[in-house]
Amino acid sequence: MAFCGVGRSTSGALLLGSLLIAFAVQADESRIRNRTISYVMTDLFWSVYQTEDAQNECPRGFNDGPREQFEKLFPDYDSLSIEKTQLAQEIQTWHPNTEPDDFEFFEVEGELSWGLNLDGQVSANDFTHPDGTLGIDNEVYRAVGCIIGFRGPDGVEHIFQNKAILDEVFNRMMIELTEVDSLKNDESVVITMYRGKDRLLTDATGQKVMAGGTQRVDYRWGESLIRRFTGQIVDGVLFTEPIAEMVMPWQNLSVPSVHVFKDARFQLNLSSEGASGVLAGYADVDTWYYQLIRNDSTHHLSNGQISAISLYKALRRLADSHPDPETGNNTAISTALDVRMAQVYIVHPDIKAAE
Amino acid sequence: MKKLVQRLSRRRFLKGALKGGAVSIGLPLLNVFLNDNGTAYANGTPIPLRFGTWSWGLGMSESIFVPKKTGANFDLPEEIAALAKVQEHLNLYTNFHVFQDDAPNLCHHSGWVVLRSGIAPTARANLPGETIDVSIARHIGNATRFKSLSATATGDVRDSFSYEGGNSVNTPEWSPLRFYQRLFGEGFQDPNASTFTPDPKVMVRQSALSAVQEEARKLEKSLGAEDRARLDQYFTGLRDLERRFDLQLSKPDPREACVVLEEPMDLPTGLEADLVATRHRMMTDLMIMAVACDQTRVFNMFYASAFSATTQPGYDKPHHTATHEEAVNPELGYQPYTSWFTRRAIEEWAYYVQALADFKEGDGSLLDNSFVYATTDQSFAKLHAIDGIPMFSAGTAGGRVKTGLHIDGGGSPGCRLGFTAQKLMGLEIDTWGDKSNTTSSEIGDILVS
Repeated sequence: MAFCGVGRSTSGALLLGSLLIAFAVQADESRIRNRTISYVMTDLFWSVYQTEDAQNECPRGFNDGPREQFEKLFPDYDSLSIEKTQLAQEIQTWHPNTEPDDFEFFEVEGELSWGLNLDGQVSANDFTHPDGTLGIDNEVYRAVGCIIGFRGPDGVEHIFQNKAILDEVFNRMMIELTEVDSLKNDESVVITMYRGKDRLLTDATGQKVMAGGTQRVDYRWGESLIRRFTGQIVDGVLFTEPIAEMVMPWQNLSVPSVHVFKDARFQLNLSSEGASGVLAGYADVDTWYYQLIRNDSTHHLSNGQISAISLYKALRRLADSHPDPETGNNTAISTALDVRMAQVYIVHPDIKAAE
Repeated sequence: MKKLVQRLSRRRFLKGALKGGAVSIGLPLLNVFLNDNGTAYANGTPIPLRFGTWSWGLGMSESIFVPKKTGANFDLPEEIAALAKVQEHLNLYTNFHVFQDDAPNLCHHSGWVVLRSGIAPTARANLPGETIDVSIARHIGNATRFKSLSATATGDVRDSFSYEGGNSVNTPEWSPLRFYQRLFGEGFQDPNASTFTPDPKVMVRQSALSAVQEEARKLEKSLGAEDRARLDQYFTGLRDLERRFDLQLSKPDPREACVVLEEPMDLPTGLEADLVATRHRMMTDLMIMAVACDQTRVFNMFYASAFSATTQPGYDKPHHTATHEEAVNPELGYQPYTSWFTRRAIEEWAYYVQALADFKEGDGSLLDNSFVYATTDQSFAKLHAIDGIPMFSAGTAGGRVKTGLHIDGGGSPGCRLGFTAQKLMGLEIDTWGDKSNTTSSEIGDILVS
């Protein structure tokens, strides 16, 4: 009896287990409609690998910002004109150059970094991913990793960039996956990037984005942002092919701007509720820099001890791709962004849907 | 009685005489103001209930602001240690939330707007609804010369958390001297003066107003709906003016605690913390006298703006900048300079409460007949957080409220305190707030059953 009882019980458990797995699979696939599932971006941070006391990556400390540099440059600024002090610094900010300045710039010195191996090679200058993957290309991290404004959880760039995603619409980017048979494994899916026009669906706090929202596509002003590319899903991770050039709308402190990423690609863990992972590629250096200073005045940069003048020199020095055909100088710098997305239903106008 | 007589200064007597008309004889006017137990005026009129607000900028350092203990006799962590002397007169509210729902979290804006209006603003220029003081003033502010009064310690006329609507901010008094002149200059009728002479200029204005109203009513008949609505808004303003004229043409009820202060010196502009404190105390003293003289029953005091630019001598960053630039000290667990600014704000809150508590009225104090609602714009300003935003109240609202308590809101809407305040002031409302900030739940723990 006892044996039989155990037998029934085991069978019941197996049946229940099978049902639960089936439900889980069904739930995971349940938001796929017409072989399509879409996600809207909710979080976007520059990938900065941080240890608790920063001793690993920034053993010499953090870089000075505009205030600290100003005090060192002009100890007697009261006796100097505005033109020779503040305006001179502002001019350098807006017309930067690669000439060395008097300040030592602290680059990241650690070996670990988030990101992807963009060039398929492993070289001495590459980082290692915390999971052991070699050849990680992320020179933006090398430049900004020892600037407190780019570090979480309270660096000024860290806070405001992400806050702007929740608060604004100009930067409402999303991806639509079509020809999807499974979120677990699919040899080929088509991905289209759009800009949405609607606010995100959040809980009552306004901070947590919920899955299941709706977004209309911005076909008018956002048409130039549309990109179509392919990818594959392996064990629940989406790997996309490189996109020659991706324009990413960016907003910070109510100022709209863009970033341009070359050979950009996503690597995202997919679920029915959302996606998370990394967006990596080569950022156009000038666009990267002017996004920063257009969005942030010297006042805001000071909040994060970000000396734009010094950072520009570092970005140029560390740029590692897309050389200018005439000068041979690299125009782009490898980078990675941490991305989180929430599942969303994309609504196309009837005429576009027909197309 | 002796005290009251002593307050009758020579200057006040002469001022009454210089107003002209039938003056001169100083009747013994102050010996019959109150009933035997000091809870009402001799004619049975109860001592009026007042509503006040107070505001400070940029929230708190939670680890040294929020007491460990809730209820009575709560501990006072170092950032609010200055409250020790007034703890018995106030309540502290923590772990109450401001909900933004589908509106953005507008830095230094969403927090105070929700707590004052019950509605999350959708843009920085958006001031939805009306503020709580306006709603309350409509209910209890009609019997006084000023429906409400606002003053700021920042010296900046733009600093106000009081508005009738998006385009109608109640500008605060920003200069002690101007505030004094407004209160006790032209149009002031001393409630304790032995005689009363209607101001002939007011009578002329009232006549002119009546004529204008007559003309406007004729005009109204020939207008479309939209214009009629505009005219109605205009009439509302006129009616308010008419009411004020009526009040000025009637002898005010005597007020025991009312004493006309000496004209203050004006202060230089600036936001250095000591200067702000001095300005705050001068404004507070004037405001209290305005309330005691029954010039208003609704009063707003603004210590610092949401983007508080208060400065500390020897430190290069003003308060707001410090909240963002100063790192959290890993050993202390908070931002020391930022906390310095918050402590200064709390010192001024303590001064404000103490000043109201020290002001005798009837058998109690002015504070006993008031309910003061104090709010800020953020909880942790460095991150622009609005969850767990702290609030205070002070006063017992005529014995209706228990004080000396620390209330944990358990994540419920901060609007509950504003709702409670409105109910205490007699507003007949079932709910207050919008979307997730909507509440119909008073904070029962503070109410005297």
